[in-house]
Order: sequence, then structure tokens, then C-alpha cells
Amino acid sequence: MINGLEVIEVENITRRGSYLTDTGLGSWLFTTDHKRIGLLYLFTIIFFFSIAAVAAAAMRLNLLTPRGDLVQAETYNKLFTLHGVLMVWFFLIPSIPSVLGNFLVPLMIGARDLAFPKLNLLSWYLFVIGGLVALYALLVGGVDTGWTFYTPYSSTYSNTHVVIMALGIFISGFSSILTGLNFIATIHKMRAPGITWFRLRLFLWSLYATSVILVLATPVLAILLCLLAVERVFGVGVFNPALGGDPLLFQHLFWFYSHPAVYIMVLPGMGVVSELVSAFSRKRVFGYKFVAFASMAIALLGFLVWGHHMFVAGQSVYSAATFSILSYLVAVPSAIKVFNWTTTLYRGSIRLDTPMLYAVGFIGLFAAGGMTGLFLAALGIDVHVHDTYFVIAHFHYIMVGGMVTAFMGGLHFWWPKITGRLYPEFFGKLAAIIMFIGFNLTFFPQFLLGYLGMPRRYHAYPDQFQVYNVLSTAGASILGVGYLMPLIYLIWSVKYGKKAGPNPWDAKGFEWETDSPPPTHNFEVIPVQIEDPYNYPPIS
Amino acid sequence: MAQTQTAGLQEQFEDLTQQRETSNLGMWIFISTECLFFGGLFLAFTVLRHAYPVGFATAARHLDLLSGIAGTVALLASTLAMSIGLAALRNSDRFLSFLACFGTLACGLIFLGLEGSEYFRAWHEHLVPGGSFQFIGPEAGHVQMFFLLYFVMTGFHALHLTIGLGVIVCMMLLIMINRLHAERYGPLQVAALYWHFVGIIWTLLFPTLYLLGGR
Ligand SMILES: [Cu+2]
Repeated sequence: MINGLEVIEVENITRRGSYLTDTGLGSWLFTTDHKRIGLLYLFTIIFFFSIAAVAAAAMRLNLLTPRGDLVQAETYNKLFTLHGVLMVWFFLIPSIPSVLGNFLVPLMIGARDLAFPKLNLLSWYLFVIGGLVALYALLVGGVDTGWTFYTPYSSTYSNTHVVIMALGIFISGFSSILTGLNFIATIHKMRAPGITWFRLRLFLWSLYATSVILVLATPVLAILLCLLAVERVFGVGVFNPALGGDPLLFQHLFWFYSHPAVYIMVLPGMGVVSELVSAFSRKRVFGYKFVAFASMAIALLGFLVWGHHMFVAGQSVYSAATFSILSYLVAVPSAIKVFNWTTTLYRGSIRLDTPMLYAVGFIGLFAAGGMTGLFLAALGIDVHVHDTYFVIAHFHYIMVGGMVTAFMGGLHFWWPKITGRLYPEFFGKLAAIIMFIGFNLTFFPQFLLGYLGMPRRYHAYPDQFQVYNVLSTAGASILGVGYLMPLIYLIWSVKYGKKAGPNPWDAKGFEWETDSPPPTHNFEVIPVQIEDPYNYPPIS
Repeated sequence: MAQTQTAGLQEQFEDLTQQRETSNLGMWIFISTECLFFGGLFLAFTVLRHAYPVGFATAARHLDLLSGIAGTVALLASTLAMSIGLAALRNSDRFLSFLACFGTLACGLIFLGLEGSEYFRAWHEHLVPGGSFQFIGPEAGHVQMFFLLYFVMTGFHALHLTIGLGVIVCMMLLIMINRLHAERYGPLQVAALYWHFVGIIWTLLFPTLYLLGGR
């Protein structure tokens, strides 16, 4: 019986063809299909993630001993720069938007493709070219400035390949801009009949907010890197005080981009978690409008808080106080989201499948990361913990505990849609739990280290910090296992996983109404939205 | 696909109106990106000019005001021609539209020529930052700083302008082979938006660089 059904299904799919039917290399490299471009991004970011993860592993190994026996100080500087640059610009920023967003935006709004499919392909090529240029900087000797490129060290004193690395980031920035532009235009103009703004999925609201940041913040980074490069090449001051430049100008422009960029790296994760929490408690998201507007509020307020990175850099007391208060304000919409997710769970019919484990993990880790952010927004405490491991732990709770966890949750949730196959549930749950334990063991000790005063970016440290560093390194090895497992069983599932069918989770949404994997143009007939999203039947 | 294919309609859109509106929106979003891109430059210039008013004023007096004014007039004329070109196309006057686009192209080239001669003169007077820079006086360092920003700002503007000229050539070809006409004027509208933005940036650059120098 089951075999019979499968045969019919296979026939259906081969008759109609899915977006994966063509297999030639050219059909991938010249595709304008948003689903294929999403997959191209997936392969690319896994590649960069692996390199950046190796750099992190080398750092953690080095920090096992107080003397830093594994690498020299210079090498250590290059390792953390590489780790930061690749993780931020070549993994986190494109992770959910460019992979899941590319795949899902047209499916969720009932369109055949994004508004500008060719620009979408161009953005992937720009991303790859930018990444290759950054790797070239690594191969010819690396960069030792840290991912923040603070001047005048980066523009005058560093003897490493700053300009090449900056060029790589500059190029990949245009890939971000094009992706953001595409999403905004698509969400505005290509919604299927019946999808009003308040019937828009929350994942799309969060991507919309993210896209606003991508479009408005990234160009500032681009021009900043240009000015850095001309100062370095021509030896004329813009940022270097010895040449008459203004080093604070660099920091202002850098954080004008890089603080909003933090929200590029977490808003899409929040969107995924809204979807997961609703689907696995089989309930409408509590306070839909609040969650939607919270995304926009975070995007807009996020542009006004960059000065909290410069409390000890010499800005005036008044601007520091203003930035501090504004930073507290951003916590409000973030907290609204956490409360709404939690309230959605209340009296829901909760199923703890793998994606939901990740979602619940996200809520806890994000809350921890967010609240320690308040410590850093406080003027007095920041002076104590500035540039210590406390900061490292804080933003890894957001970036890894938040975004990577959400990315894994989303990847598992939509994997059956992407590939048409189910992954092995047992290993999925196991990996999710291992990742949660490994993550906390890696980064919780770093809160303590920072509070006790261990500064970041040193390859050696006083003896009394060793216990926490050993704990952290042990945690990193567990975390590594947690990352390797999905890599293996997800690849395995592409060939051997059970057939998923159109809607394995029995979830709401246009993407679950079409085949798995979807046909090239997504829908046989453009669907019509006749009810609110997340309109699950009442729980008896 | 079941429905009959409209000429020039891309498969992701339902009709030409949706396609045109979406392209327009895309260009507006791109322009907002560009505003922030140039905004960073204007901010850097303003901060440093505020720090070194004398040096920047000295340097600005080495720019040729007449050439700057002539360039501004040429660029404003080109945006007028562009508006005429778009209006003509929408009124089914393809010939006038082609002619107006040619006018835009010519004015743009005049602007580039004037700017090129400014660059040449700066090079001749050893005002290009770097090894060949020579300036006698106490403000030499700040004069060099001004010219660094001058070249970066006008250079990026000229790059945008050159891309715009390429786009206009494409538009002229499309008008010639009747791919753009009164029913399908979207691409020219998008190109015109971009061109006007390039013009607006110059109307901000011109006073910032030429006129705020204490003349
Ligand atoms: Cu920040």
C-alpha cells in the first residue's frame, strides 16, 4: 500500500518535474530560480563556515594553556580576524536571508519568483567573488586587525593585507544590498491575492525589516572601507590622527553599519522562530501585530544606538548617555517578541520535534544574550567589562545561540520542502541537544572570564583564568560534534530519507500547499489567501 | 504557461503594470542605498572641513569655478533632456525621444570632459594626493586631505555618471528597434530616475566642493 502510494508520487513528480530535475552544471550556474540560488548560497556559506570554524578551533586549542603554546601572538591575531570576518560577512549575514529567505519568500507570498531573478543570481556571484578575494587575502598572509579594522592600526601600522580583505568585504556588501532590494520589492509588489500586510507571515515581516537594514547600512560600510583603503594607499589622513584625521569618525561610521548589522544577524532568526513556535504548538502567534511591529521597531531603533560601542572611546558624556538610553529602548521590542513566543506556547498542543527543540533553545539563549546586552548598554558596567570576554560571550549568545540555532531550526523545518525528504528524527533531536549543551559550556564560562577581567584578543593569559578556558574549549569540541552530525545525516537524507510529501508538519502556509520539492515555478495555480496566517483549528 | 505571453513581460510578473511599478520601486530602493553611500562621504568631508577650515578653503580656491559652473549647467541640461525624452516616449514620439536621449548623452559627455580637464589641471599643478603631491605653505597637509576627498567624491560620481551613459546608449538602441514605445516605457523611466539621482548628487557636490571654500 505504502509502496503503491510512493510509486504514484514519484510518477507525479517526474511527470511535472521539480526545481531539482535538471542536473547539469550549467543549469545551476546560470539559474535564475530563487530556490536554486538559495541552495547555491547554502553550499557557499557552509564552505566559509567550515574555514571560520577551523580558525575558532585553533584559537580554543591555543587557549587551553595560559602560555598560549600552540600559536604565536601574530598568528592568533590573524586567526581571530579571519574567524570574525568570515563568520560575520560570509556566514551570518547571508545565512537565513540568502538561504532560507531566497528559498521561501516567493513560496510564502505565492509568487513564481523574486522580483528581480537576474539580480538575485548576480548577488550570489558577487558574494562568491568577494569571498574568494577574502580567501586570497588569507592565502597571501592574512590580516591581523580584527574584524573591526580600527584605525589608525589598520590604515597605517598593520603590515598585513588589509586592502585586499577590505575589497572582499566591499564586493560582498553589494550582494547584501541586492538581496535586500529584491526582498523589499518582492514583498511590496508580488503578494498573491488576499495577502494583506497583516496577513503577511512573520518570517516575511522580519526579512522585510532585515532588508531595510541591508539596504541602508551596508553602503556606509562600503564607503568606509573605501576611505580606509585610500588612506592606506595614499598615506593621506582621513582617520589617522597623526596625519590630521579623525579616528572617532571611523568608529562612528563603522558602528553605524555594524550595530544594525547585528540585527541583520538576528532578526531573520526571530522570524524563523515565530514560524516554528506557531507550527509546533498549533496555535496562532500571540499578538501577531506586536511581533510584526517589533521587527520594524528593532530595525529602526537599531540605527540609533551605535554609540554604545564607543563609551570608552572619548565621545561626550551627553552622547554616551543618549546612546545608553536608546540601547535600553531596543530591548523593549526584543522582549515583546520573547513574551509573545512564550505566550504562544501557553496551552498550545506542543510537539517537540527537532525544529521546535531549536526554537525553544533559541528563546532561552536569545534571552540570555539580550539581557547581558543590557549590562553592556549601562555606562558604568561597560567600563568594567568593555573589551573583555563578557562581550565575546554576549554577542555569541546572540549570533550563535540565536542566529545559528534559528538557522538550524529553520533548515530542519523546511528541509523536507527543499529536498522532498525527511531527515532522521532521532539524530536530529540528539544533535539539537548536543549543540545546546556544547554551546552553553563553550560560552557561559566566558561570561565569568570577562567579569573577572580577562581581555579579549590575547593569545596568552594569567594562570587563574585557565579553569574557565579549559571548560570553554571542552564545550567547543562538543559544539563541533553538534555541527558535524547534521552535516552527515542531512546529506544522507537527500538520498535515503523517507519521502516527505507536501506537508509533513501539517503546518499552515503556501509553501506547504505545493509539492516537495516544489516545481520550478512554485505553483500550478497562483494561490489565494482566504484566512489569517497561522489559523490553526482550535485545540480541543 | 496557459495565458498568452505579452511581449517584454518577464515570467514572474502578472502584467506590464506590475513589472513597471516593481522596477521603479527597485530603483527607488537602490537610490536610497546610494544616498547612504554618498552620505558617508559628505559626513567625512564635513567633519574634516570643520576641523581644518583654512586648509580646505585654500584648497578649494585651486578648483576652477567657471569649469564647475559649466559642468553643472551641462548636467542640469542633461536631466531636462532626459525628462523630455521620457515624456516624448509616453506620447508615442519615438523620434523626439531618441533625440532627447542623444542630448542627454552629449551633455553628460561634456560634463565628463570638463571634469577630465579639471583632473588634468590638478595633476599638472601637483595637487593629486600621493607621492607626486607638492604644495608650498603651512596648510599643505590639509590641502592634500581636501584633494583626496575631492577625487574620491567626484570620482565616485563620475563612475555613476559613466554607468548612466552606458544605460542611455542601451535605451537609445531599444528605442531604435522599437522595443521601447508608449506601452512599454518602464525601462526608460527607471533609467531616468537613476540619471536624475546622479544629477542631484552633483548639485550637492558642486556647492560643497567649489562654493563652501570661502570665496
Ligand atoms: Cu551594538
